[in-house]
Amino acid sequence: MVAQLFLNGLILGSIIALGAIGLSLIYGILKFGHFAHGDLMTLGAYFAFLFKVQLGLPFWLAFVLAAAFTAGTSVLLNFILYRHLKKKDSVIVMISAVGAALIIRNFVLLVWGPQNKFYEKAIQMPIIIGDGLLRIKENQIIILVLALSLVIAVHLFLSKTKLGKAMRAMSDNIDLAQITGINTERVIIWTWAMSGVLTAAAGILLAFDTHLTPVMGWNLLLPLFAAVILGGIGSPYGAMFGGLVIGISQEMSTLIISASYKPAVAFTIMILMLIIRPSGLMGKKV
Amino acid sequence: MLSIKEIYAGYGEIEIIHGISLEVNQGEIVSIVGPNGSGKSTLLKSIFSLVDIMGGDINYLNSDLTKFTTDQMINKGLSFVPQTDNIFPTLTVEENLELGAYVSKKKLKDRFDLIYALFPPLVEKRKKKAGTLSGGQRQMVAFGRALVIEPKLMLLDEPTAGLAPMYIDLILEKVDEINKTGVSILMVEQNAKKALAMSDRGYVLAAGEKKYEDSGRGLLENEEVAQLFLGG
Repeated sequence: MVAQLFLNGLILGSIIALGAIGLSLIYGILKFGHFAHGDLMTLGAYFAFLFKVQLGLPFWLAFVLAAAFTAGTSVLLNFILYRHLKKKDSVIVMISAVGAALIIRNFVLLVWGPQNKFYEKAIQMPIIIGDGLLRIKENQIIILVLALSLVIAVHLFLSKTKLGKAMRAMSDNIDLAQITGINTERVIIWTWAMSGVLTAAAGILLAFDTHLTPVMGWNLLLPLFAAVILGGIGSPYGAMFGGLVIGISQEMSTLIISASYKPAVAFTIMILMLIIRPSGLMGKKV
Repeated sequence: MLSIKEIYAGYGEIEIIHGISLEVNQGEIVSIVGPNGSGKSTLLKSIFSLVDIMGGDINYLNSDLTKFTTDQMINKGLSFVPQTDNIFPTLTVEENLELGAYVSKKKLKDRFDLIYALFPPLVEKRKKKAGTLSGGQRQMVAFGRALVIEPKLMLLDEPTAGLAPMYIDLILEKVDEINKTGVSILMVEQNAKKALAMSDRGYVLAAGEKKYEDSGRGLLENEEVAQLFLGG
């Protein structure tokens, strides 16, 4: 039972981690909480639905196309909205992000309707490991492998490439980044694109594990923010770690409390972290 | 190499620098001193276009610097070390240095060796996050970042501010050492006596205007300057 919950938590956690990386980088660089992040996740999942189910493309191609389209949407959002609000109060930017979230969600409702949707209807029999100790579906193995590969790819990108280092540098100290000659506008666009790809991946994997609904991303927004704050705002590595901790804690909490309190677990961790160590586990001192 | 003529600068509507002219010649160390709020740092920042320029000319190596973007200034051998927040704390020492060369296509390896030779304590900390270093070592990282591009002129904004006394002399010695490799230096410094003693020339600012201009030694020996600005 404990091992099963841990496994479920790992799956949820890796999905949260993917979404939280982009959210944290945007928070670190642009200094605002991007409340439309959850709905971008939803949009990514529905893009994949469009390509895989409606257009009949193979899963991998639908995944790549949906990630590209979501990245495009993120860059577009920056271009038509956030770019113009850089010098404005962060509350104004935050409210604008909530507006963007509502627009995206209603777009999804308008195009795909409110009913639950599935990438595939067939029932999968779980693989049983260790005499019933662990049950894992083939889809879940794919989710874990894909999420892990993406996290490794992000790590390599951030630690080995010039652009990745520039992103971390901007999240650290944007004024110094400018003095160093980093083209901050360009890096911001790439940050939106990368976070779009990761967000879409998170949405697709979540839908792959369960199903698609227009509120799937919105419902995951709180755990995403909890992961970002736990790891330290602006720290992509903190977000990965925070995502796993939040996912695993949410699932493991059902050992002692009712499953309907799962979101409260993320909330509690977030509040405790803000009281005890507001800079997060891997963030800069505040 | 740098010639500022009648510059007016500030923040938004507020003018802080009222028509100052200044020069730095090849190979010189030039210091800008003066009381708090005299506009020293604003003057230095105006050269790097970090504040609003309301009038005047800034000429660097025969080009109008006010028309340059930051990467163009860096590629022309101009680098700036801010007073505070001058490192990337969650990046390693080596990554900080690498980012110093973000816009440059030069070979890094030789420059790194030179920087580590200048600041030996950084060698064993190269894989450590810069934010975990002591104040003096952070300043070394900040200098290193600005040195990677092989600058011709370095602008230093209060390089010893907030440092422990043991590091103040060390950092100023390093400034001298860097200068001896052919890099011209323009620095704003609160330790006015120490700064002027090592400078070829100096400027004394008060209330956004230039009050005195002389050789470093000349300013140190000027009784009026000593009484008004150097604490007697």
